[in-house]
Amino acid sequence: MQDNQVDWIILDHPADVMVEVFGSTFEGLCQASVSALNHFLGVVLSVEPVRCERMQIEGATAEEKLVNVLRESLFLFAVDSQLVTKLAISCLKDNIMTVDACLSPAGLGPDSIEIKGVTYHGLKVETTACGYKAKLIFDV
Amino acid sequence: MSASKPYKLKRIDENRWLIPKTGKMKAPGLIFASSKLLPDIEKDSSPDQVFNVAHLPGIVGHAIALPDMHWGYGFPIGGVAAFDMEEGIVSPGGVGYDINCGVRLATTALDKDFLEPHVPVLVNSLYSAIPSGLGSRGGIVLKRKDMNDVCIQGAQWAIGRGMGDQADLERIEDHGAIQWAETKQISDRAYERGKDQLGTLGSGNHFIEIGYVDKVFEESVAQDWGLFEGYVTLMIHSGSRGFGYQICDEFLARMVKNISSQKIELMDRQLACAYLKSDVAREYLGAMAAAANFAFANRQILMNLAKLAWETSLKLSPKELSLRLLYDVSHNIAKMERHELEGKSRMLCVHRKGATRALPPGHPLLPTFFSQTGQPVLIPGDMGRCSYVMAGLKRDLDQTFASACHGAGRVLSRNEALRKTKGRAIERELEDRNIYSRAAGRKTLREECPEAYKNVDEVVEIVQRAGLAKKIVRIKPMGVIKG
Repeated sequence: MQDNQVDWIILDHPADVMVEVFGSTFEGLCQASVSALNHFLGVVLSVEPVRCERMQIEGATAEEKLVNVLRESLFLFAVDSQLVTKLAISCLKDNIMTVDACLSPAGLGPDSIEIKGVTYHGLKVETTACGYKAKLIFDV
Repeated sequence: MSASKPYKLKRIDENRWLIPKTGKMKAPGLIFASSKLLPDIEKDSSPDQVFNVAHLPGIVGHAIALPDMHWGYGFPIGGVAAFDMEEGIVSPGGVGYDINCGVRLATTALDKDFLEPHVPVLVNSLYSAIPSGLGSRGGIVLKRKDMNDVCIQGAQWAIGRGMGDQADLERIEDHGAIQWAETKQISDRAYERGKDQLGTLGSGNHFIEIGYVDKVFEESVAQDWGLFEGYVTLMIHSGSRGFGYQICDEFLARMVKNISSQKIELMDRQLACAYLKSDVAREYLGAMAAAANFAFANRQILMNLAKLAWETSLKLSPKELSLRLLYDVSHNIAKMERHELEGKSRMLCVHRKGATRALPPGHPLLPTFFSQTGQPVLIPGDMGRCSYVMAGLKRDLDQTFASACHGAGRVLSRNEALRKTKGRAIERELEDRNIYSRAAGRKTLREECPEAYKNVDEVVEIVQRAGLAKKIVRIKPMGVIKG
């Protein structure tokens, strides 16, 4: 993916939220997906300090790993009002992915909607000439 | 329809379309739609989702979609599927994240002319009294033990604390509590996500609506149910909030992980499921029932909050208001039910995702006061047009496992609705139609604008013509609170 390309776009869906996400690496794809999710969850309250957390993400496939990163991010927002603002994959081995995530306190923003869950519907992580892409549906 | 589809819709009659059984399908698909509605339905992928559901193991009868169907995830919204207890499965995606999202309708002793000048005061009062909107909290904060009690007792938990009458229980599906709820299946995370959301409305299409009966189709049934022309009603649409979302999420992830070991071939990962005889299926059903009971309690509490706000703001005595529950039904649920199939009575696991149970007169699960009339089937439309109350019918029960539609069904995406309403003040447009509205979300009214939904008149006509339920009354909105 080139620097001037967007990392996610909104697609039409009759009831839920559908986005297409792009990344030059799988880590970039996860970061773009979290950014897209954050857009609908809330906004960072930047005056507050950030905290870091190590997450162990399970998943036999790229799709499962991607959804599980997003499920974790959604839970952190729903319960702790924290948004994952930055992530790095520190280890990717078989069915486990270790993710170092930066979290920031967050509140509701102008585009906030209630995301109930991150779905697997039609999800396929595809490789492209520029890296990776995937379409995600969030249930609202 | 595109030529690349692996199926071709075949018209059966003016209300029904068949997806014939081909390839690895375990059952045919059946879509209820008129020629007028079909183009809207075909605009999205919902018929593909019916086709996908028809591949699930142990499915019996048809994979069904009702006329309010639209694209969901995994199952279509407006979908019904029943599974054999021995060879079949249960799928969290066939219930949805908002477990036991549902609707209840209450009648009052007030007439429209009396209430009309007070509607803005009432709506503002309800809006202040009921926590609503995105991630709404501020309801009752539950300790873990209290949460367990809610999950077992359902609506009774609220009634035991003075929020409603014992008589309400007979007017709630499953008497307000599914008996096979298991609290040991509730994770700490589900508890955390739901512990302060009981007694909150939520956001999106969840609503509280003050309406009035504007047309009566079946005078005797309407009278039996306390629905009189010109009289005011209250409708509440909400579910199990974050508690249910988390339970669905966790079991879906578990079933996705286990799918290959069960040797189930899925058309879509969101259809992840487990054989009904497996431990994970039993555990999911126990947790799902717990979330369903949380939702029954939630709607019971919301109605009580509405009653108190109504009495206080309009200075009415409980007798003057006389808010009485007519019925409360689930839209998102999987249940073990006995149905006649090809002349045999069979216990089946019936999934309804965006569909309403519609029991006919004489059904053994109905309380005596509905045994002559059939079950009230509540069909909310959109906030600008109307809603319907129908009654379950005996005819053609097998074809939908006693189910009917749950609403109008969306026709515009939220983005499209926002684009089409750019620059419009929906609140003022509704006021011009004597409908006073309040919404917690900045964009909610535009996303939920009337034209974002199919015309419920057309949807309900198909349900009636197909013999799934019959119209009893039509209700027009006067005031709406959207989350």
